[in-house]
Amino acid sequence: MPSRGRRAPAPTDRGSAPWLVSALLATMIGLALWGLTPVLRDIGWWLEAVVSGAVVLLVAAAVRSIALRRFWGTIAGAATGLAFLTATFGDGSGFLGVLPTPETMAVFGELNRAGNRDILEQSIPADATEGIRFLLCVGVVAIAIAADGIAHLLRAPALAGIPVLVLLLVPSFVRPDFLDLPLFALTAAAWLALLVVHSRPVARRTAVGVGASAVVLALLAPAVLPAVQGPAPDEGSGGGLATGLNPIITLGDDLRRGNPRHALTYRTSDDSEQYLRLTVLDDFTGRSWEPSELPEPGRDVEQIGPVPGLAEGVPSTTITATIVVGDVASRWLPVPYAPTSIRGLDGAWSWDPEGLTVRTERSNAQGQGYEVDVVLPAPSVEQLVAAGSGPAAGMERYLALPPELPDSVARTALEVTEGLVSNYDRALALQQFFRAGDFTYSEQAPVEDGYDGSGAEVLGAFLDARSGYCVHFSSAMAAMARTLGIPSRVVVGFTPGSSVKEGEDDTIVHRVTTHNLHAWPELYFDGIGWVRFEPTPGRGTPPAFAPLDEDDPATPDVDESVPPPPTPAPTSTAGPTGAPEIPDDEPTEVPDESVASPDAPARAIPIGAVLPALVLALLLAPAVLRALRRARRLRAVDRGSALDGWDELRDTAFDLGLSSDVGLTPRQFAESVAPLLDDDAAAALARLRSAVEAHAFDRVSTPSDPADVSTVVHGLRRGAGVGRAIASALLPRSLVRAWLPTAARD
Amino acid sequence: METSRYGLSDEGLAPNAGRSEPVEAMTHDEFYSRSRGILRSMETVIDGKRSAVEMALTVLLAEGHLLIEDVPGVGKTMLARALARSVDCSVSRIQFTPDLLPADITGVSVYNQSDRQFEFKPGPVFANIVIGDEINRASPKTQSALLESMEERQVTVDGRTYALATPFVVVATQNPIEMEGTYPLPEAQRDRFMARISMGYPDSAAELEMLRSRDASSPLDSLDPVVSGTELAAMIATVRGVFASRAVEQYAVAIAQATRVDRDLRLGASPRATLQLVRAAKARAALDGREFVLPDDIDALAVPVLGHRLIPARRVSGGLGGTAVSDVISRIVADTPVPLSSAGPA
Repeated sequence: MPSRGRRAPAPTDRGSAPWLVSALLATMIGLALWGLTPVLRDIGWWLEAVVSGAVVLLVAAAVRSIALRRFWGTIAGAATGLAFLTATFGDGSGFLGVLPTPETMAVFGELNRAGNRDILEQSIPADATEGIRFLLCVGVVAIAIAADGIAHLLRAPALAGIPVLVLLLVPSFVRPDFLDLPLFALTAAAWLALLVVHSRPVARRTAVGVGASAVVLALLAPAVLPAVQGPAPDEGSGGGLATGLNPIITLGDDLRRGNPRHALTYRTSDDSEQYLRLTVLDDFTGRSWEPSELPEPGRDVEQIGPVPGLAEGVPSTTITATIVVGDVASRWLPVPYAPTSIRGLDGAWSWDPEGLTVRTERSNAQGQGYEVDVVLPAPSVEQLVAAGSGPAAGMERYLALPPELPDSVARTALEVTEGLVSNYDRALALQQFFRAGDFTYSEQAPVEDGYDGSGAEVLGAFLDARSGYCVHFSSAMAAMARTLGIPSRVVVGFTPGSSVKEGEDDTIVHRVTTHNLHAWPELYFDGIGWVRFEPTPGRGTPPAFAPLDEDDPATPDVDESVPPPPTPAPTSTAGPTGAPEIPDDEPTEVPDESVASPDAPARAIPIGAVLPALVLALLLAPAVLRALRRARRLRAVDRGSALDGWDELRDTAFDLGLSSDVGLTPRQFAESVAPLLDDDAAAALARLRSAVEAHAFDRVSTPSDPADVSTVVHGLRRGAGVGRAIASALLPRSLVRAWLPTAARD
Repeated sequence: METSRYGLSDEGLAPNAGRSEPVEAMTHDEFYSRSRGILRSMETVIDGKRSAVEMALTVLLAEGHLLIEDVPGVGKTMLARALARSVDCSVSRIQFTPDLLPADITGVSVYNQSDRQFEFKPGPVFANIVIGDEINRASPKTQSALLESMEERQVTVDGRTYALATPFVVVATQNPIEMEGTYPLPEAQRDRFMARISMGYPDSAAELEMLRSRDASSPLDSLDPVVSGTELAAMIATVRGVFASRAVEQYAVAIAQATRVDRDLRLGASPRATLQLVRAAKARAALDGREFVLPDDIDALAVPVLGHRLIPARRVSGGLGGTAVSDVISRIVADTPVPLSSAGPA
């Protein structure tokens, strides 16, 4: 009587399918990478990244076709990936060009920093700098190795799509409207093909059906559930700064958002209104204004100062501001200028001695309440005028201009300031030039013309169109000031907001919303330091010590984004000139086409926290699902179901890579795993086996004990070894058992 | 025509017919000790062939017929005779030769001069255990005489039908068809046997032991019956009472159906094969001391019960036919999900 032997080799065509799987994976990676084309310029990076992924998969498949064990394929693929990275990015530091050396690692570390920095500082679409390309290739190599391992080692090609999916989602994290549906569908089609190739003929229809349904659902969900898309725009731009991306990139989006979100409230000891600064952009690269350096960690925010450039003789007042940040996420702390001490913050915060901006690497401004001591320099006009007319020494970096700056900028600056001598008078003239009426405030027009930014060519277009919003006004004034030799920079932050009386003692509280987000220039005067100007018509207030001409239409301006003013911008009609052209810039009435779902009840969640949490949740989800399933079955066993206990044992064995084929009888299964168990567990297994046999095949059934199930499960894990036990806990294959090809099921 | 399927039967009954008597089933404990006794007894004769011995007993208790196929001299006949000797019941032995006639098996009507009428002389088939030696050496006509009586459990001679003994077991031996001077059994005939086993050569220790013990006398002579014919009938009744759950039946059916669609098989298992598979499984369960059938019983019996009925597809039969078929069956058994509830595969 021949007993049942090992399964005969499955009659699947083992020859071509692995190659086909690898080819489909490479195709998926290539398609998913294409989704990044709106984010990065040119397509050289695409070729490079695709090649890096394809090389890994190709070598893995080739080695696997000749190696005895399939893991050699994945190992060879990983080694190839590393060699490829060394050869491409190692700058010749690798041994023989391909073997990484310590020096290579140093190069890689440098590229990593450079890449992260480039990502932070560039606007979209970004240049695919070497650092970014390096990070991209590292990511693709890692994804290719992961996908290869999942497809061939775990033999679960259905899951191999998950790493690639991460790639596909990257662009939509940057900007939700970048999710390219046709591309998504194409990638999904490749994934479905993968399912078809690797499913048993019997299960093929099921696998494809389930897979296709999942893809269709994923495509439909955003349309059916508009709220799903809502939070996404906010994640990237809550407070304008959530990821540390250059805030100026998303400022326009924030301003155009239909419904303002509460950003913060503050009180000042003298009830005065204050601009609240978030970040300083001093590096005018031609493409954008960018922060040249971030605050180094470790500077204690309780001791801030000195105020740059502020000389002894300048009068100043000291006030205290109490600020409570609402639900906007930001790594930059909104503080008035110039802070000298901040108390009451959670987390590690640091400040930048040049810009006096306050930033955290790990923490978040969201929900924080803190007190700031603020020095308000109050130079007299005489002092400002006396500050001189020449370029200040040692301020070269605040005077740098990109070569591609249109000539019209410098020419206009000269025309506007013709005949004026002191830097202060020329600065006032520039401010007046913008506010005097020729320019209109618009959050819409620039976008349609494709210059939603602060770059050099945008400035030229802005000076022609004479319409734009704070980003354009502030960057134009700062650039023009630089052409005149006045050091300048652009600051992003909040206008003072609306005043409300609150509480029993009628304390004046200032409420600031996301519509108060603003950008303005700061100009430097010798002996006085940085002085705020307000070139944007209809927004904010020019500084008190920079009086304007009486007929300035915008002088009485208060913040116009105060929600909700019953009449549109009442003060903007007060001016005799230019006022009719100033559009009602109450943003809620601005027709809004660029934001997908403006009315989402958005709660800003910092993307920096969401992404790792999401990844972690994705990684842990299988383990959690499996644990839930085990608990449910143990409860069922407790209620008398021997079958659930047995299913649990079989799935545990399957997770551990032990034999647990459905073709095995309970007895055969018990025999196959018994050698792994100690005596106690073996006895428990025998009891469970009798119970399930009696349940399934006898007329009388006996209950089984959940404790026995647990004993055997633990015994199996011990018997299988620590490594397998951990792997099985994190990636329980039994969850996708029905989808696995026959060969992988025993 | 010595046998007629349509022959009428009036009062004619075989001499020792007992099929109408109801038989009390024995308890499983009793069954177990009796069956151990038979096995021990047989093993004194057949050394080192435990599985063949068990299989023979299983078929006997499941009321099937056993086909032992192997090369000459490995103990096929010895096994059949040991089985017969262990049970106290009527045994007959037919040596099949090319010139054997059907009447030599079923019996003949002879004219009795004194009574002036025909009198039926029952042939060797009228016994509880019929040993058919080298069945494939007889002509097809004679073979079919035996095979029909196996299925019908009755013999019709000259228009009269005679019931055969109960229990009635044919243990046929056969040389592999490659040997000279044989008429291979057609597929339809092979289907009548519940199981086919082969003895295989003994290992060297068993063969040495055999040389020593067989030197003086035939070991069969020292074999005493362990159970009576009545007890055997009771044991068979016990086997009938073994419980086969719906799940086990589904499992057997699933295996049978899988053989019908398998690419490597030209002819799959018949419904009779499924029936006999479950019946044999009941016997095996009882021999194992269980009152219910496990899928393990089905697994263990799939090759002996199905092997001789299936015909491999041409490309598979290129090598050793039998081996190829049992490989295919093993694969099908391994691939067929074991249902743990009657609802369907677990």
